Amino acid sequence: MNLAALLPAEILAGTALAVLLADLFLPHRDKAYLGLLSAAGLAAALGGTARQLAAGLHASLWGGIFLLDPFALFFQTIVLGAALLVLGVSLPYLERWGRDDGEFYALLLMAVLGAMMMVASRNFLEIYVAMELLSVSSYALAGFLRPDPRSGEAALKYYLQGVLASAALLYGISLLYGLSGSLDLSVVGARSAGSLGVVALVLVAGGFALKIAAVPFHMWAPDTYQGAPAPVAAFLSTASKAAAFAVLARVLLTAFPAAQGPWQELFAVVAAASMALGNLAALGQRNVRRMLAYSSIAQGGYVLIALAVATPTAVAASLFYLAVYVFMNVGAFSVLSFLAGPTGGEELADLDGLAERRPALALALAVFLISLAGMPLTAGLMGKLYLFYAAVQGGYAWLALWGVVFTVVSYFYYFRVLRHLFWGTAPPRPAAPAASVPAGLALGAATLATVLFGVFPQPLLQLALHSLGMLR
Amino acid sequence: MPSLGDFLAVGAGLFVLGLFGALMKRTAVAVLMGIELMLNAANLNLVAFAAFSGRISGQIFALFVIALAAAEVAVGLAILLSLFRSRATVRMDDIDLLKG
Amino acid sequence: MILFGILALLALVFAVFMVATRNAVHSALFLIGNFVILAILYITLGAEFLGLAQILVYAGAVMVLFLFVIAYLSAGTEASETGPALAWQLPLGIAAGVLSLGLLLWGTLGAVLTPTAAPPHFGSLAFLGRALFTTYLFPFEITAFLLLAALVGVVVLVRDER
Repeated sequence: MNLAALLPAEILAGTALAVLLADLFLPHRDKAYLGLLSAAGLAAALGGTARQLAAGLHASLWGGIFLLDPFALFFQTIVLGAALLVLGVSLPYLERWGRDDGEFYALLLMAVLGAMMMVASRNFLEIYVAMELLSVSSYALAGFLRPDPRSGEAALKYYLQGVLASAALLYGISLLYGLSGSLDLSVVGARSAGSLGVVALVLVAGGFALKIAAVPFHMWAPDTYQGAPAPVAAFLSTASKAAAFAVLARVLLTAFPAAQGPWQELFAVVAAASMALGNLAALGQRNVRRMLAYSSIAQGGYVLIALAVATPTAVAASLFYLAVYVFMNVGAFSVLSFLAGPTGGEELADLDGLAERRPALALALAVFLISLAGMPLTAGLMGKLYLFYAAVQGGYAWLALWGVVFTVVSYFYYFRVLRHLFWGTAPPRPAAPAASVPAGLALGAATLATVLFGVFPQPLLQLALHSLGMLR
Repeated sequence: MPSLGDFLAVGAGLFVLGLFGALMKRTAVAVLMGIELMLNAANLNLVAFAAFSGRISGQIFALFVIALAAAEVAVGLAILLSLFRSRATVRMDDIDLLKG
Repeated sequence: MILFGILALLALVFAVFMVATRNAVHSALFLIGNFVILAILYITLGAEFLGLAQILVYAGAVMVLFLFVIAYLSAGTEASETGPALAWQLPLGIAAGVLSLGLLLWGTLGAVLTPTAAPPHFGSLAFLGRALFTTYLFPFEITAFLLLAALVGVVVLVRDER
């Protein structure tokens, strides 16, 4: 058995424990070191995973329960990268709220650990346990800002809907287990034909769709993204979403290749509904964080096109899109986290004249929004182009057209924010707190990556295609 | 000797009843109890499948579910308590600060 | 078969009462009853350890937690249901749902699998433990982290501010 392959996960787990232990002994003024320790652990795990990905590692552990293939490693890299950005932004955010305790970092690290295990699972038991680790940590993170009732409400709504979906998922898994007599993904699908298999598959897909916030399992997302701490919202909308998508793709593509027909149509409808509802509902929002939440539902819809088309090109395009989506969406939520204090300040009017007050922040937010909208010279455009092109190629031209239409709709709300940023008249207000070094680094990296992958998308796309090669 | 189908029918009944409770109840505690019933329905399926196929993995899974559910319930009730302290309500209709 | 019939009926009746009652304490007690019945069913299915774990952890620890929280929230009044009674369509809806799903399962799966001779000591602690600590060691380790995460999360959520 190749335990060295698990080194990144071990580093992460060790860091989480070290942070919890150190938290007991550090005096309150030194808590920032815990954040730096977590960042070091995450960076080390990220480096290790990226090296494994570059080396094309393909390791199967515990009789195939756990599989570290390029597909898993690609998503682990995405999740770790997103977590590192989120962590950088969390440092000043938590300090401002007076909640910079070690528990936040430990919970974040354990959520990342769950996501990492999840994407590399090939067994339903392992998938379920890892997903619960991600979920339980996320519920606590969403309610972390306890003095604020909005945080508690965000946590409760996420929790109740999350647990409900996980119960449905479990029931679906139990049916698949009964049909096939196995929990192994490579065995389950072959023996799960028939109407009951479809019922089970819908229940299972629903459990993952909740984490992707796809229609009709999106109801929690606006409330939770708005009420949870901004860095946590950034984490849930990127890392958690990407991990759930990875598992869903793996379950469908490895376990049910024979039954492609019915679920492809199903995901075409889900993707179309997510794009429509997310983009239309975002139009009416005055709170920018809530607007971004609906935008995130729509972005999930674009990515789900890949599961409807289910060709290698399409899935590779979704990998590309999720990777660049991490940068632009964590970036957008991060800028908001700098502006908003405990008193709010995330309404459209609060962004008026930000370009004069904080030019760098305004420019960064503009880059992220332009990329989310899918304008030229940004990674968002390339991602959308690849997805829509793959849809046309795969015989889903109507879905691509649908996506283009709602992309145009999305311009209205993204550009409304830009208008407030650059052409709004700034009311006199206390200056926003200065960004710290780690937060500045995270934001700078996200901005740079958003532009860079827009101008030079080929290497990342090649990597995505390569990662897919060994999925089957 | 009852057949596998008998056990599955009981499990299906519990699942639907639990789902109904989870969707229809107005307080968070009651919703959570409905969800627990759904989890137990799935567990009954797993144990029944394990017994009728002679494979231990179903029982192992059920054991994990029991441990996971306990942890999950603890976190959920903690969220509820912390919300109750700041809002003095656990009725889903009253928990409405976030909307748009 | 008669034992199974009684147990199955009891489990469903407890579940119906749990959903139907408006008093949160009664609801929790019915749920405990349901869990105990399920534990007995597990034991009849050869899962002795699981049956005991169900009673200890589920009917015991988890439901005590529920009752504690219900008691904490204004002695049950806050946690109980109010509002209009359920219309008659709803019970009908449930009945239809139960019947259709139950029939689907009973029809498709009941015929597929017949009882196989279980290995000796199937479901015993030793049998379970061997599988748990060999094949399923990895999920077991992750569960340890999950319990830690839950512990930390609960402390974060309910402790008094310094």
